[in-house]
Amino acid sequence: MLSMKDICKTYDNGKLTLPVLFNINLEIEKGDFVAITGPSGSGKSTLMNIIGCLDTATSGTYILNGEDIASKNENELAEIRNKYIGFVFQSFNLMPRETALENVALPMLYAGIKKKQRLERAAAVLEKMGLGDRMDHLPGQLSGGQKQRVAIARAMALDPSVLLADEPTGALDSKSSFQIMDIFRELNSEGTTIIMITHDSEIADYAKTQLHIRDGRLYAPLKEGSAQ
Amino acid sequence: MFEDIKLSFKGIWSHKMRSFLTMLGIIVGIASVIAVVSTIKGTNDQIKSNLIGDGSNTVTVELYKDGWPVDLSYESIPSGIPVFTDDVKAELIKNDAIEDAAFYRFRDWADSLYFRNIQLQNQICGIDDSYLYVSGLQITKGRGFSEYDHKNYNKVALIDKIVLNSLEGEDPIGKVIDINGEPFTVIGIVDKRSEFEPVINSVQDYLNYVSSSSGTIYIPQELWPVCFKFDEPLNVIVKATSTDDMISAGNAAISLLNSKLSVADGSDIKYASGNLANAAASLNSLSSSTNILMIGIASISLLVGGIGVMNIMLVSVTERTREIGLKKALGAKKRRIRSQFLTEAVILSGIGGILGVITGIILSYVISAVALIPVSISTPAVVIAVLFSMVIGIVFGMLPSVKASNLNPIDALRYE
Ligand SMILES: Nc1ncnc2c1ncn2[C@@H]1O[C@H](COP(=O)(O)OP(=O)(O)OP(=O)(O)O)[C@@H](O)[C@H]1O
Ligand SMILES: [Mg+2]
Repeated sequence: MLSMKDICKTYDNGKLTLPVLFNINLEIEKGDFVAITGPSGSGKSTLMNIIGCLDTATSGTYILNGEDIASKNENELAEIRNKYIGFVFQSFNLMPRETALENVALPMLYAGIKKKQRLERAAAVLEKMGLGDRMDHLPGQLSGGQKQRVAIARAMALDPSVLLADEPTGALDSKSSFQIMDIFRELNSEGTTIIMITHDSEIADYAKTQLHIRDGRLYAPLKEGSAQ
Repeated sequence: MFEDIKLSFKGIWSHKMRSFLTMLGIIVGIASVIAVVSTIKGTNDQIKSNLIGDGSNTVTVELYKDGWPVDLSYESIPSGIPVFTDDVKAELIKNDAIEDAAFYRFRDWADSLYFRNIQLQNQICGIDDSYLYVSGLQITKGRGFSEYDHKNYNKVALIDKIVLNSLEGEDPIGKVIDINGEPFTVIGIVDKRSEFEPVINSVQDYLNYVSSSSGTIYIPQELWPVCFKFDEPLNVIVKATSTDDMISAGNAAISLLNSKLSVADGSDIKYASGNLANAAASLNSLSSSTNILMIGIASISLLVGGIGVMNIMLVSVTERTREIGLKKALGAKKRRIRSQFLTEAVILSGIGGILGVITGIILSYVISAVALIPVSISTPAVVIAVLFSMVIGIVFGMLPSVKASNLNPIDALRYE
């Protein structure tokens, strides 16, 4: 479903070239739950951005759902992100002036879904995240854990091929963190593919597969799994 | 589109103070343009009306010979001049610039003109049934000529206030004025309708006003031959649809009447209007000078307003960098981001424009009340102002919205 071959990423700001990722090879199948760990600055977020089609690799090939990402232009990438990828961020990134319901409905607007259906679907997903009574709250009126659940609902609104989470528990206390992980595990058991970055080995243990990045290189799974 | 509009209002509303300050540039610009246009137009209309005739928007077309008005007190009737019928009047009124027309004959004096034993020195005017309305006269006492008076050759007369004042205080109604030996019963007194009251601001205005009115006695034109000659040429007074139409109304009447003449080649006899050339010149100079002034004021203030909008939109793009990054990550295309910011800029400046128009209208009336200047709100100016403020929004919103749509989603998401 998702395959990377010899992906390299080098940042080049004119004066300085900084290689960040070296020959990443990665296969991810539908239903996988992968945790990527590694020290700060090792290139985890860079890799995640490439997987999420927010950024393109300097070299190598990346095939997502049979589409060669390198050949896409900006608008096509936006469409691919909308259709195939669900993002969960460390800092939630909710629209502060929109209610939980409107936040969840936002990606469906870009998919061209009618307003009535958008709101129905958004309400259903929020209900599933246990936020049925918080739909009309603004992000500022929600706790961290609740915000992250709204963000997960938003990511799941269009049934993405893969859920990408860059340190989803980084801003949460341990109780909320485990709650979020329980949700991830449940989503995964229902068939959602998840790739998650974390510093925390307890969190990483929720995944079926663990990958490790050090100095821009991807290392073999530390537990049983399918990568490399 | 609808989502963009909703979002824009939300954005504008959530920064009420800032949005208002942004709009202030546009508001002040549009308001001053509206106020200036309205007061200039009002003053202009007044000046125009005063300059040209007496405010009734009428043009008189008379017969000229060798460049001078034909005066039948001294000369015989030139040949080849038909006496116009009502068909000609109907033809005149067909012209869009002409609201109505009337025929009349005129003498500066009569050989013998008496009220009792008082000798009068007034003008005599033979009028048809539409003359009073067209020339802006109304009956202030007694009655006007009826259809019956016209048809039956009743010897009746109307006099104006100046004639009335020369009658040594007697009430003339029902009494007789003797014109060239014929007795005419005075049945009414006429005066300019108050809406046409000339504005007198200077001694010169007053002298003009007085000298142009030496007092007139009106009789039905059917009776003209009784006192004067048969088949005298008719003069025409046309009422233009508006002050601006006076020139074209006058010219249309002149060319139509001249086309009916059959004068010998080489003789210089034609219908013309003495006041039209002056009117044309003063109208043109008034309009062009105010137009240049207005365009200047408008463009400077709207330029300033537009730069204000651009400035605030750039701030808003920077402020919402993360939001833009997020939207792009969630699948928003460039076009959508662009149109969101463009819509906001257009709505911002459009609201500014509307508020500016309202402020401008209020301001106009305040100026009018305080400075005693007449005000006339110009509808085209209002419409153009609002549309133009939206164009300003598009032009000056373009740079910020393109900047927003070109943001790289990763950088934008990482932006602190
Ligand atoms: N836009 C950029 N331009 C230049 N260098 C960059 C850019 N983005 C990231 N880097 C560099 O790439 C390296 C990897 O960064 P990345 O964000 O992927 O690290 P990370 O593994 O996610 O770290 P952390 O755990 O702290 O989030 C870092 O050294 C960083 O400085
Ligand atoms: Mg990172």
